Amino acid sequence: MIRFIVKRLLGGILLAYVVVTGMFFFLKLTGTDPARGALGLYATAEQVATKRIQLGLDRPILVQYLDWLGHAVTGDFGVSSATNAPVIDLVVQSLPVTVSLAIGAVVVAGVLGTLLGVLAAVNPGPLDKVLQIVMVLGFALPNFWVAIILALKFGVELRWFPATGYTSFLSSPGGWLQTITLPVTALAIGSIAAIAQQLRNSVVTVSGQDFVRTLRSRGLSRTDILLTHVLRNAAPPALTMLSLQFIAALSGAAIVERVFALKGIGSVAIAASGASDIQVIMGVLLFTVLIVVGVNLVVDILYGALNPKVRVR
Amino acid sequence: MRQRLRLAAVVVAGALALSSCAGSQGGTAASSAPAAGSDAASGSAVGSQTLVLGNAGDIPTWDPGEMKEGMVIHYAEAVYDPLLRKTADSEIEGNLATEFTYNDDLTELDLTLQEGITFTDGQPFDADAVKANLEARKAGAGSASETAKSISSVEAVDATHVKITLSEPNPGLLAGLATYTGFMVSPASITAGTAGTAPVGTGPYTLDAAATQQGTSYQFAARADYWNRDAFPFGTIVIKVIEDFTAMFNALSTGQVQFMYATADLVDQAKSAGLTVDTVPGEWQGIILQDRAGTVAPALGEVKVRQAINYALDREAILKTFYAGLGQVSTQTFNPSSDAWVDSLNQEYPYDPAKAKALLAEAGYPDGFTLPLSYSEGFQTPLIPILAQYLSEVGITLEPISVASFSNGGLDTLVGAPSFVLSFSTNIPPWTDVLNKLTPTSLWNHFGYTDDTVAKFIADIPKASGDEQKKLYQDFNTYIVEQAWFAPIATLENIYLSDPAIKVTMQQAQLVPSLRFFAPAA
Repeated sequence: MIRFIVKRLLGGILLAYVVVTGMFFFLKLTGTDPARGALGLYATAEQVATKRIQLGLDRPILVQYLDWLGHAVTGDFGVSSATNAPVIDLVVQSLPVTVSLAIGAVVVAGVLGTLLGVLAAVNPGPLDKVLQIVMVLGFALPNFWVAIILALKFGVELRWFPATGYTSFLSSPGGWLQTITLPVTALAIGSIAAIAQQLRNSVVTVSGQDFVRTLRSRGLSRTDILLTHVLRNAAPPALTMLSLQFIAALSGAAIVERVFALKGIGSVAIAASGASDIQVIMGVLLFTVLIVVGVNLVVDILYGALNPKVRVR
Repeated sequence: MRQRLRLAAVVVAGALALSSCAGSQGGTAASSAPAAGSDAASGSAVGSQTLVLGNAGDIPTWDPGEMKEGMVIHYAEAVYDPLLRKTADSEIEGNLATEFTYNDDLTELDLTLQEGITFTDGQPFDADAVKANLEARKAGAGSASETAKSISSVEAVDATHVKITLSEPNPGLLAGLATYTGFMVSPASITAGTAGTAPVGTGPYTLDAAATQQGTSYQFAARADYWNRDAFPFGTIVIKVIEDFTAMFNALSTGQVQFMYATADLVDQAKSAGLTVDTVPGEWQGIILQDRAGTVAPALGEVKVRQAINYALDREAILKTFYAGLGQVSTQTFNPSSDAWVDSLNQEYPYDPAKAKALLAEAGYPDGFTLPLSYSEGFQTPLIPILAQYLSEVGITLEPISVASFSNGGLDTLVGAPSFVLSFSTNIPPWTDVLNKLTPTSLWNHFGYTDDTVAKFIADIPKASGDEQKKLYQDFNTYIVEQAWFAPIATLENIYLSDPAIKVTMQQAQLVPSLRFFAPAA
């Protein structure tokens, strides 16, 4: 198992490296000019030229890349060219917001999706049909639209939850819960549908397999079969779906954060791209990639735990 | 005492403005306002009330020399005092500098400074501080550097007297000294290079770093010993950064913020939510026909073609349908309250497709031509089909070119664009507008187009003053409209929404009213 984890970990790091490197050169190719972005329209050509030297943009691109990489490895992600704030500070401030939303959405989606999926699978007939329609609807609703509706209904009209803003968990757990409830709901709705749909289908498929029939013929109770045998075999695809939903929630968070005025990694990235702030974009990207890789690793390990055959591959 | 009278006058003006446009206050409320105003003026204790302002943008730097104009003025005004200040009508009056006089040829400006004022780091505010600031502003890369360009030297005559010498007269200087150019930063922090990260001013508030979360919410605490305390009645100012208009509106309607700059589509909702709606004429929107020499789009080189484009637009209809009637149709690009505005010019190009076709034929384009038009993806997108429709009726085919963003680097994409749609600020004094778009080196005149008449106006206006200058501005404006450098559609109303718990006096020709114009509702 340890060998397996180490292998996956190294694979993940390689993936992160490739993505980040690709992005670095891509950003350079698009011709965005952080010096002009930082100084704005009124700066003279000479001021921009001086700023370029200050930011080290006059060096060969390979040198810039190696410099960035060398510092990043030691945990130094540079400073924002637009605001001079250390990139790590921006990430540390905004990451908890986005991660709260993404994890919250995945937990809610995991729990509710599993319940709905299993419920639909074991109740063929009208309930299954209704649930399937609801699931498709939930999947089809764009989460920014859901977010706007939730903000208007439960934030502005009923005032059950704050319409905008974020309270950190450390300063007030209750406040934190209040501020993330609506955004998490907006993000989770599509994921609930996706997971439920996936699980329903695999539970139905697994239930039709020979070994289940054999188990049933041996007189095991339906609940026993479902919980210990069917779900164990039906879970892996749903687990993959769950990890995909986490990534979707991470990207969807950018829009939902905007609707609820939360300063998460998404809004940092949007502001940074508006100012051609490459250091910040790279920092945000690196952390996002590391999170995605980390989540995939955890899923892989769970996979391995559920199904020993995977470990041999 | 003059100070208080002035404040009372501002309050009356504000009350009148509020009662006339919002309709929420009757005549009695307006007439009782002066009493409330003088009460506020006589109380010297710092108020306990908090003012929460919504702001669509963060403050990337605290150095006024690096700031780009717009709504960041609220952040700056909380911590910095300007040398001069603007009234609600954008007249200039004294502030940290109590007196300001020009010499006869408008190349020297003498300032008399207040005594006994210190920066929050204990440094004295004196002539040396002014000198250090103006020199820093000149070297900066922000919008203040444009105004400061004409300053050739600053001399500290004695502790309370400063002489500013100009390389050429600059009609925009006083307004600049009332905002970004004139914001006074502690010379110590300029020398130390920390002006951008830690604001040290003489302003009415100090940044409360402990209660501030960068990029999200900024809190300012009132200074009890501030020299002009009465003009800033709130004990605490909070500025919340909310980029999305809908989110900001949600925050406003649930009391999380008390003031926002808004868009036309929010007005009806705001009224039904019981919010105060105020408007001030602000931006003009329309087409900048910048390839006036016809280098890229030869047709635009013909004045008759540019006039034809102006005749082809049904401004009344566009204003009513696209802008919800919030503004006035316009053929000119200056502020309606400025010296350059000429009411009758708006009759210059009535909607007349037949005339447009005739002009095109006279110019040698009887079958029309194709006009490349750049526009900002997003809020201008719905305007494009409307323009395309009107222009196609006279034979002009629109070739829309979408530009992801006009901000910063995006500006480069407009270099070489023969024409583009823009929403553009209008200013008092109009010299700012001249510098923005009419000189050969203007930011928004990428082809650097000019002619002898324009060059003469640009040379003569700074040297003139009073009525003579006003006439020159108006003649310049008339010439530009006749030459059809632009195809403006309308001068729009800037829209502001506020909580009824506060009272905001509208200010002409500034994107958001200065902090001084905010007060608790009586």
